[in-house]
Amino acid sequence: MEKSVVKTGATVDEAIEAALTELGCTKEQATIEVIEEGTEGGFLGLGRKDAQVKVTVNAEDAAPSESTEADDTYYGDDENFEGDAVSEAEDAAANFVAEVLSGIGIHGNMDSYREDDTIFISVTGSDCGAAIGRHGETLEAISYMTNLIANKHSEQRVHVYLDVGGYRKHREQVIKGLADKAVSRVRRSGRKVTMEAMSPAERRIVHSYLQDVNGVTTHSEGVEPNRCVVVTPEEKK
Amino acid sequence: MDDLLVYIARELVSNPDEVNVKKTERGNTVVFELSVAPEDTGKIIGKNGKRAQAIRSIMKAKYLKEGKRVIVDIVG
Repeated sequence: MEKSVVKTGATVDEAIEAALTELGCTKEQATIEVIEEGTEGGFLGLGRKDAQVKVTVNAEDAAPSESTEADDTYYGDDENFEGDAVSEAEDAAANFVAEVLSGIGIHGNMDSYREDDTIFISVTGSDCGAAIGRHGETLEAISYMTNLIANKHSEQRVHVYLDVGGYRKHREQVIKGLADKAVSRVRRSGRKVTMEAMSPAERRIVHSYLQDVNGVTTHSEGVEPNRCVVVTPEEKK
Repeated sequence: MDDLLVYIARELVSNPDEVNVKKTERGNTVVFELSVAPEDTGKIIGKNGKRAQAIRSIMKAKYLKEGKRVIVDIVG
């Protein structure tokens, strides 16, 4: 079976390296095609262009087992690499994310680890914006797809938590800030306050964050994608 | 053809060999016609078109840098 990937990187060598790692083969087993040479760019790196290569594994030479050693080095920090059900899902998820991101034209570092039934994948890099999208729309789409793929490869239900460029972490802080503001408005006015529309995951952050705050209760109103958290003053008995 | 779209579609369906993508460009817009085996259309579209919407979002992101609009049509 012939398999090829297209990778981008700061230099041609870097892109080739990334592609070979993903395919799990050596330079000798592959055909390398340089699509874009990549340029350093001028002042402050303006106009810098990434190198892009296409690497195809030669059919006869390709190892029959798909890149097992590559998985070890690339997604690396998983000590209990036993090949059990969840780690198969983790591999599938990480592989899918890598494939989609390189397809969109993003290069970066990827890290994955798991805790019980949750697979955490985080991607860092300088040009991640395209993978996040407006209001995290693209990140949401990639997360959703990755969840599907991971669960296809797992008997038990797994969850994938994908973060790109620290967007989710940052968003969580922002949302908690908004929640604090909503609470103080409710306390000041004694009336209910409707927050801005959020995704289910973001609303969950608000609900659990305000759960133990005295004097307010929360619920959601409206229809996706315009469903909002409403913060209500707690009825005094 | 588009490698990324083909890759995603093949991951979702049960008959990956029947995934076909036709790409046409109309001015600033890239149009993809994605077709899969009849029994796989549901797997591509998803409940309330959720999967189809996710595929569109990802493809939009890919062509954003070139400033192009993307339409992904599922023909079945």
